[in-house]
Amino acid sequence: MSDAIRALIKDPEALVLAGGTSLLVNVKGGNYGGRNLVSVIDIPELKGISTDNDGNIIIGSCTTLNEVCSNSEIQKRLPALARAAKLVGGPQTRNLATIGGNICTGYMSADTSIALLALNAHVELLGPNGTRIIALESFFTKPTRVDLMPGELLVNIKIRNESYVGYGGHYEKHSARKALDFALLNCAAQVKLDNDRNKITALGLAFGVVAPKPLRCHQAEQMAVGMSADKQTIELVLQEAIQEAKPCKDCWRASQGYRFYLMKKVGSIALEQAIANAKEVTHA
Amino acid sequence: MLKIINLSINGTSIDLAVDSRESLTDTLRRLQFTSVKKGCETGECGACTVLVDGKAVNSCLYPTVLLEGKRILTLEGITKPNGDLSAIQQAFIDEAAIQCGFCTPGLIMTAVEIIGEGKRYSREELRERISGNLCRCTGYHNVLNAIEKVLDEMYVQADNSNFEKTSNF
Repeated sequence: MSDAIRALIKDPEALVLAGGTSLLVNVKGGNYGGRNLVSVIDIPELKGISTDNDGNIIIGSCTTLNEVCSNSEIQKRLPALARAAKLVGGPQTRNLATIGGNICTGYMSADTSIALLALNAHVELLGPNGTRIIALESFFTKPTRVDLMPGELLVNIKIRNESYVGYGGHYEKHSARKALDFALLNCAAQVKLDNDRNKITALGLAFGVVAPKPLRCHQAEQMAVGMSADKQTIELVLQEAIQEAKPCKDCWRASQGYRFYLMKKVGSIALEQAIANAKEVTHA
Repeated sequence: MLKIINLSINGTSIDLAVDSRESLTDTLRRLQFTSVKKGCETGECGACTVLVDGKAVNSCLYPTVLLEGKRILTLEGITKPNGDLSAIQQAFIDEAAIQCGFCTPGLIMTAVEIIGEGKRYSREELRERISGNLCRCTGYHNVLNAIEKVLDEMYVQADNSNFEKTSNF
């Protein structure tokens, strides 16, 4: 890691290369001309999935998307994340693409970004001045920009025990094609129910492509606490979420009106499935 | 900038001088492994699919300099030395899974990865497994038939308890 950081500091124009499935496409498109690339994909400290003694799940930034979605712990404890990772691009893409790379694009549509937002994930960054740990939500600063200072690397993503244990989650992606496509609109929901499985005790809700950055719907989340887990609540929650959204007005991929429509449709599917999953979850 | 790397292509170890900007597609094609096709060069069509250490990747997005010590497999590597076709290639022919043939090398390399996993897949799951390879001619129906056929034959032949990940097909 220190070699990579040194290389980045020595050459401020240099870019971090992980799987290359996003960056190299941009380079081939004529962007970033003449800039050096620092390859971090083989740095061992950036790879791997583990669970610490407190039950927090830590995913190395250079873990490939296939490694994420095929990992049995992720499938068991974070099924929405496994699903999100599996829906990026195609099988060949996922053998190269990394979860860190997916987040660091800063795209409002990035599948794992949305799933991780609903899980209240945190990111660990390492730079010349040491380590920082920040909430994923603050990591997204501007459209396609993330909070990486000069020389900083994204080391890992951490999902805390209290953000996933006892929750049911689902990730839903709507896109024109079934594969090899960015999301037209996507939603991740993490629901926790009371012991009678009737009332919502906690909600994590995130949408992609409804705002310049990935969106976490805090108002909608707070509103849902204490409400019964039914279709009526889902409608109210989504109405609230729509207030928090700011889809772009003249987007070539979909009109603003269509995006609001999709928010309701995709959001309903995500919330219904998350609630159904939450009913199946055994409180550990 | 030129770098010297050592890698294995279809079983043969080779020392290469490559420009650090050259993609694996370009490297393989200039070494006459022209089964590797350029469809989009941006990782969206799968025509350039090869196996790197057994994993299917879009070689157009892989800078060759990063492949020190890795094992590459292309279509040329699964045809037998005497020219006989492997089972998967024969199945593609028998099931009429080839029309213009441009997507075929990429599809076959993806199929090789699938077969090498030693798992059974439903037709729906197989559709998902080949979703990284675009074909404008066949409609995928016969492609799926060909892959299913090879998977079925292997399960009939193989002793399941001894089944290993293998590149024999």
